[in-house]
Amino acid sequence: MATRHTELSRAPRPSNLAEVLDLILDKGIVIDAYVRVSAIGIELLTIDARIVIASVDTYLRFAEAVNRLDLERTENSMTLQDLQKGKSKEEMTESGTEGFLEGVRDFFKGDKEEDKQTSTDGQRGG
Amino acid sequence: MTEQGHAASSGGPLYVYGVLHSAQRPRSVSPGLLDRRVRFVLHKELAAAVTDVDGPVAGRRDDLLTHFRVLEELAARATVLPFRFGIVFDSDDDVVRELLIRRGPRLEDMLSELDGMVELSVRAVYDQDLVLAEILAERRDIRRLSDRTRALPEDATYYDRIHLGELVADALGSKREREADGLVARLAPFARALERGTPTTDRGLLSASFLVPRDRVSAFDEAIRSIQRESGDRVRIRMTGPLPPYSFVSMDDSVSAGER
Repeated sequence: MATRHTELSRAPRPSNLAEVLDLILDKGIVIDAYVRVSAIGIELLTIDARIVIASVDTYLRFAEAVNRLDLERTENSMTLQDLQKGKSKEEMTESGTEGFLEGVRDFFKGDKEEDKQTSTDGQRGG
Repeated sequence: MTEQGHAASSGGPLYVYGVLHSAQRPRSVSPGLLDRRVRFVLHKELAAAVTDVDGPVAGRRDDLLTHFRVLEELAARATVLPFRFGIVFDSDDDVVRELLIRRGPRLEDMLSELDGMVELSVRAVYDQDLVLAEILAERRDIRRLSDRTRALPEDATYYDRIHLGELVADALGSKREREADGLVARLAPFARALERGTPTTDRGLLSASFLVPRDRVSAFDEAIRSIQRESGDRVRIRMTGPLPPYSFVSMDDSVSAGER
């Protein structure tokens, strides 16, 4: 029987880490009496602290974003299509071809497929 | 009963990764926490995957990744009930008595229920600029209010800007709700169960977990790819998995997501 060969990489990959944390910290079987280890230092790494709540801060932020956009639109006579065409590829990572089916497994393999992944989004929320 | 053929168990605390049917346990597993071996504590049909830990485990990022990796490895060929990070029993006997015997029936039920199933986690986020531009194009009232607030000094427009933001947030919320429902409707046919979370950022569109038979995973993946192609740049959708069914396990005395 063939054994599964994996090259274990301990190097964290932010985008995959974010997906993982949500599951292993908040989900899974828990038996309260036996919870003995707490995750530490995670807040610094991946959690996107901006929460969608109805607040003045949220509204002002939206207003600013919209006004900035609208300004670009009126000043440069940009249409919606112009905006779409003009998007830089850096901002549009992973926009089409991968289903990320092997994403996590590749992460742990640490082989050359890991280098192909171009994800830069470290946000936990979504 | 513990595995023979290796050094005797320490008699000390055991970190538990998860539970599976002992017949499905692999012959070897990559090292777990603290670079120590992963072994199995057995009772009848059940096996708990554990590592001997002396004293406190730090709970750092690498430990979390190790927990995840061990479970992923076990789940490659077995149905595994994953534990939340951080569960430690006092000894092998403690695992046998308090987990495999006392909670055995519940564990068996879950293993039956989840046999052959995996979890697929889906997250979709908007491109904020693109979707806001859509909202501007769709809503004259928002455009007008935006024009007005830009034309005046900032301190004169405080309340107008709040109102503007509220209109935008509301429009985005409607869009999100409609589109998230649409996404879920397209993916739900592949799943036996699903769990939706609430998006936690302004640009979040969907955060959901699907319980899918292993042989439907590639069809699910193809559906995700189609959705991404259709969405172009305005939405970025990513799927993580196959995963052990973290979102679909629960114990009667736990507060796991499945019971909320």
